[in-house]
Amino acid sequence: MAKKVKLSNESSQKADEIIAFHGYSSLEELIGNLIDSEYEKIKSDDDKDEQAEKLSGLGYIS
Amino acid sequence: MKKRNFLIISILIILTAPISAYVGPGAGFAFAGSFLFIFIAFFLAIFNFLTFPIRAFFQFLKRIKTLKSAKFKRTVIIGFDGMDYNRMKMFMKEGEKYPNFEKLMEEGTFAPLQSTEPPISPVAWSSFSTGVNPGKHNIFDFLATDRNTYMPKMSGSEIIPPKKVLKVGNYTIPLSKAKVELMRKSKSFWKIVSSKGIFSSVLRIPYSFPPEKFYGLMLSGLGTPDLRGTQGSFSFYSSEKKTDTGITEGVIQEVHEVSDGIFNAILKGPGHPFVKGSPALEEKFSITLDKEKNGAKIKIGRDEFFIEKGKITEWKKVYFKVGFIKIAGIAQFFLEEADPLKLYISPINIDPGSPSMSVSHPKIFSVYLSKLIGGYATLGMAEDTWALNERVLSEDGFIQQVYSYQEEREKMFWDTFKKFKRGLLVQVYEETDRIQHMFWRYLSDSGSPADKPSREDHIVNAIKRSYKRMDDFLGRLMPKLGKNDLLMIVSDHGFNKVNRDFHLNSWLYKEGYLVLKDGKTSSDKFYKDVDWSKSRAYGQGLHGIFVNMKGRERYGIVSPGKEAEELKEEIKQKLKDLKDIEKGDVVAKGVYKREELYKGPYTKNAPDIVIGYNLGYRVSPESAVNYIGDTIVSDNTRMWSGDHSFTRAFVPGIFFCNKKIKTKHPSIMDISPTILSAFGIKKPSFIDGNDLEVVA
Repeated sequence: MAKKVKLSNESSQKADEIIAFHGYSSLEELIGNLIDSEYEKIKSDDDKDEQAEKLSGLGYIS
Repeated sequence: MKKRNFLIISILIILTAPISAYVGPGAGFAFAGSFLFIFIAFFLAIFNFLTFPIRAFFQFLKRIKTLKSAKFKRTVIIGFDGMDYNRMKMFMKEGEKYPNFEKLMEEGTFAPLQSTEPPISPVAWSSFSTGVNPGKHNIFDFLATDRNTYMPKMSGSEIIPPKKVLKVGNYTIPLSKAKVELMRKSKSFWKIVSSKGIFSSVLRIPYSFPPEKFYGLMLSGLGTPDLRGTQGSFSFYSSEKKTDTGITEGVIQEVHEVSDGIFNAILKGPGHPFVKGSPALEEKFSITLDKEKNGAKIKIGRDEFFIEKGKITEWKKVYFKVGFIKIAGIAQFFLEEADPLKLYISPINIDPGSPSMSVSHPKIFSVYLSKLIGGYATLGMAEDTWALNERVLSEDGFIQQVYSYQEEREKMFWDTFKKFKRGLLVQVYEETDRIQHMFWRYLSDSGSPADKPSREDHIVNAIKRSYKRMDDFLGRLMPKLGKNDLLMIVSDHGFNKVNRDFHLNSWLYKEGYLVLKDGKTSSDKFYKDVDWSKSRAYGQGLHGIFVNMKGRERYGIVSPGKEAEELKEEIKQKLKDLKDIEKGDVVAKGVYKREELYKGPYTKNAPDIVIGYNLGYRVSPESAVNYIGDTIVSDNTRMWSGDHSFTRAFVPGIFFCNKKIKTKHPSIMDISPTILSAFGIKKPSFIDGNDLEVVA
């Protein structure tokens, strides 16, 4: 379920500066990317065989 | 009688045990809560229903406001994937007639369209969709890297398995839904346009899977998986011994004659959704040869149909059963030979009429199209290039397949166009890309070492024909457009020959950047025999090199900062100097650190080094699946003989417009802001491209 987060004015201003500096298209995109970056650090390994299977048939590579 | 009844009731009262149930306030809340939930849902439904006219009115006002400032009544964008600027001019010079392209040249604009670096479809079409450089949209290649496993992974979407599952013995029951996430970031022009109240129809744009929600219609394109979750795995059945076929890809099955001219076979489908390890679901079918009619009868499930030798069939429904559930797919059949039996079945596409995974927005849109035109390809890369490479599908069979998909897509276009009174319509056609990949070897200047077995005109001149077919399509479209309509024709990149394969990972091994486990001199697929504790860099995708960075890669050994920067400089220099000893040419024309090419929040996900290959060179398929051997550069003898994986200066795309533009050097990033400008929408600050300034 989607969640709403309330940012303080200060955080909101900082977020606007980050968005303008990096070129995010929206606040949602910025927050999504920050969460993804943190999640990347804790997620467990994917199944290697499953990863290989998903790639099959991609004419460009195999 | 009364006495007896009294006795029974008395005994029941005495013997009845007290009910051990909690009937305190919590239960009351739960009871009331369930009613509350129904009440809220009901209230919301009523609220939505009652406020619909108000919302529709505001949407209408928004639309009126946008349309007032729009410069054109209708904006139509057609993509011809891979159509090459230089080749188009060359064909015209040779006397080929493209009257509709020529009309656009004379009355409007024809210019080379600068692609992205690297100039490959996922990257370039994502810049087309968003108007930003790859550092802001997060797509840098077909493949991204998994920093935990060093495995390549698809860059466009990620399937997130269900969070909650119930494990019972060998069964895994999902309690929540799996999700598919679009990895392309930033904001597409159709989302911006539709947020201003303009209805948009977006058909088959690459890297639009899973489909986005917006005020309009979308059918996903390149990147959409088949029913098995792969990028397209064909099945091939032969009465020859498996080892004699020489085929390495797809599902290969040796079949035996059970009686005179009758073969039994199994079609492998998607993984079992509830069984541990997801073994493939299977559907049995039979093939009965009919020598008199020069074909075979196929019986699969309740369906029975005849296939003529050498003719690709229309889409046939196939079902895979899991208990009471049926998973629907569609496939095409092609009988290559009857004796020995050689039967090809296309990758099983998600059935658009009963999609197990949504391929459109809204979901019902794919069903609507299927009712309208019958089955159609939903797989991203539906044209089975690899089946042709493996000679499972003949050159003629492949062309039949490509043409049939083009026909389906044009039918979708015309139905959408018929209802299109105002707004935005975009569609990308892929025929030009697939045909050029597979038939470049027949061009007189290709110098290709690959086989050219055919003398038939429709095969030898397949590329010229394909350009002509696109011109014919324009010939049907252009008379239907008025002066107030804007038409732009774009391609994501051009094309040229690819005669040499560069084995990047073997080169990294030879140079000591990749180190193998003790005693090994080669490594199987996916870096099976690599010693990561000693390796400093690895190749991934079609253009990238990643540093095995400490704190980033799982077994990283290179410290970020000075050590990493020195390593990148060293590799860059060596690659720039690298020559193909046999031919005397340099392998790479440009080698870049990612910061030299990209700017944006996702630059951190890009390869540390991006290779801009010289014309005629590209990474070998073996290297792209992380195989390591001793060959560094070799001949490309595959039918896949045309490509665009060079540095972008070699392969400009095309830009045609029915109006003049003020800009002299358009880039693919400029298309999105130009569309916004056509609707009078101010360019958002995050967009890198510029308005081409169409003269209305």
